[in-house]
Amino acid sequence: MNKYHLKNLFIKITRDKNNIFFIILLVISTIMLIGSITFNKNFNEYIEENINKNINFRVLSVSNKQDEADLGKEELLSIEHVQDVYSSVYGTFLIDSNFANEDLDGKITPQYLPKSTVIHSLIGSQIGENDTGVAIIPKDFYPDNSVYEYNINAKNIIDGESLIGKEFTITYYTRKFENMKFVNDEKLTKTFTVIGVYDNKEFMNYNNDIFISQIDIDEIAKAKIPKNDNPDIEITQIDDYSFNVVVDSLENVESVTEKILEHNFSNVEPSMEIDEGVINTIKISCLVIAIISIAVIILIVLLYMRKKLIRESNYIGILRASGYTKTNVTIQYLFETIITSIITYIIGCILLILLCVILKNIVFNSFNYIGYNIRIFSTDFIIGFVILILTSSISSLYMIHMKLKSNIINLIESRE
Amino acid sequence: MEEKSKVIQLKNIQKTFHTKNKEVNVLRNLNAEFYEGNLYAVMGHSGNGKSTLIHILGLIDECDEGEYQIYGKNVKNLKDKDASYMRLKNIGFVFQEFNLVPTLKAYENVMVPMLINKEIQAKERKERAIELLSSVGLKERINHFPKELSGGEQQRVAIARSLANNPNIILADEPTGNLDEKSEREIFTLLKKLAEEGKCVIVVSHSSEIKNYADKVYILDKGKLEGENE
Repeated sequence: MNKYHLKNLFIKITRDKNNIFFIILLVISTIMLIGSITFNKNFNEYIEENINKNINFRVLSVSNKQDEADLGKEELLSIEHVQDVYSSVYGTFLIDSNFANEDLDGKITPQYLPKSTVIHSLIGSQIGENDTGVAIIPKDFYPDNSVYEYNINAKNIIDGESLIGKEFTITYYTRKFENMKFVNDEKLTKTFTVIGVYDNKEFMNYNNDIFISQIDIDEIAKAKIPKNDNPDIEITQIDDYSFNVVVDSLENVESVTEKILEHNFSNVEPSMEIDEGVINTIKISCLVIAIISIAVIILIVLLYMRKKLIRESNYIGILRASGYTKTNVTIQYLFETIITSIITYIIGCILLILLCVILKNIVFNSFNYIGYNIRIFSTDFIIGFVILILTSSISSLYMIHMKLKSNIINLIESRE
Repeated sequence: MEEKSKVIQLKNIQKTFHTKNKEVNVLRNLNAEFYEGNLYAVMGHSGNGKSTLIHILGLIDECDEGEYQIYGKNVKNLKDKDASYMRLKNIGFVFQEFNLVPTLKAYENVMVPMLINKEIQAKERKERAIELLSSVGLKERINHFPKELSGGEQQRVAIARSLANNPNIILADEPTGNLDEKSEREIFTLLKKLAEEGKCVIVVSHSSEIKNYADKVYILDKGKLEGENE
């Protein structure tokens, strides 16, 4: 097999319109195969990087002890592996800011960053325990209420890094209970300086979630949830909110849960929980799709080769009569299959990469907060290539071997 | 005729086909000699073994008994690889069906047998294919696909293909079976020309027109070859 022979084969393949349907089917199978491998790998990385390392999966929601002065906070902190305890009211306020413009409403949500929590994506400075008036904002900052509807307009995203060192102001109202309902009372403003930016996906936060110090968030919470001095009226107080208990690692969540229950706290629930069932289902689905794709590739090649070899029986007969040995014919058809598979692979890869780019830029960007990202790994493509070439070659070899059992006369005289 | 080199010798060739209930002796103690530079016509009724004889001569079928020599070398019961090599070097086939690859142009079809012939340089193949097509009168048709050619032209491409590796033996099995009279005459003229150039051309045909071109006419009857008028 020399380059002229290969050129001749290439011409034969590209001019044969019967190959188009075969190539389309094989491209779809190839996309399914490499796509399932890629998705599976991305999913595993997502689980590893975004879920296993995400603080929210090691935060427990615990009902406080109303009969104790500190509501049981110190008791919770004394439990081994508990890193921090804070009120679940933090992070529930949507507040106006001076980021409002004609495209954005300026709504932001102040968040509390638990003690000892490292922000891996941090650019700039961390918030100190006694700091006030400082904030860490998302690097893709989108101060607008629409973030909760996964409706981010990319052109309105503010580059958080450009705001480091700059000030912004938030506006909120104290609340009071009047005529059996809450009403705004006094208008308050507070100025913050941006000291850093972070990737909100790291915490599964929205693009308008900003970290501020506990002192500042407490101040806002107290203003927005007024203290009720009238025992006849039952309204939710800050103290009514449960605690969020931060465990130092995912592995200790179960043991800490048991210990908290042993301390007679109630309603102990993880803030976010990994559904192992769903994860396993996704992983198994990827495996099943990959196996089905391989089976489909084998089936397609077998059927295609069967049809092709019947159609080209006369041609094979002529090759044999012209002096081609069985090995020559086998090599010729094997190379035809390999060349077709390579063409298929290249088309499949291009389409898959385009699909990934579309998914990444259109679909997953809308779900920015979940942190799912599609990355293309060269190893997946190499694995896909090897599987495609091997399965198609073996299937093809089998069909050629069966065909060459016919004698030359039958091949030449056969009619389609 | 005897002054020319003997290319093929058949001695007591026998071929029997076994069907469910009976045996058909197609060739019975067949003896023949074929020389270079001659065009031989093999005629006879349908089903009396003309094609079988061509297949045996072309090493794509085997005889049961007897001796078959090409240039004095016994070629009976060769292994597939050796038989393939012998076909590559010595034998060119022309069939009733043209069997051209529809997706290849005329010159590309002619190149196909050359692709495994190491004695023809890769760069020379196209040139040789064009030369062969010119010699069969298709110089203007080298870039045409089979469907763009008439039946006679397609058969001429097939003849050019049979000459690709410059064999000395050309075996034609009903080469004009699918052609009109004009094309038939053209093909027989072409085959005669090849014989005059020194090839040993053996043509199986139903058409009596071949008698006008053949140096010797054989009639295959009851499994034996008889020279006409002998």
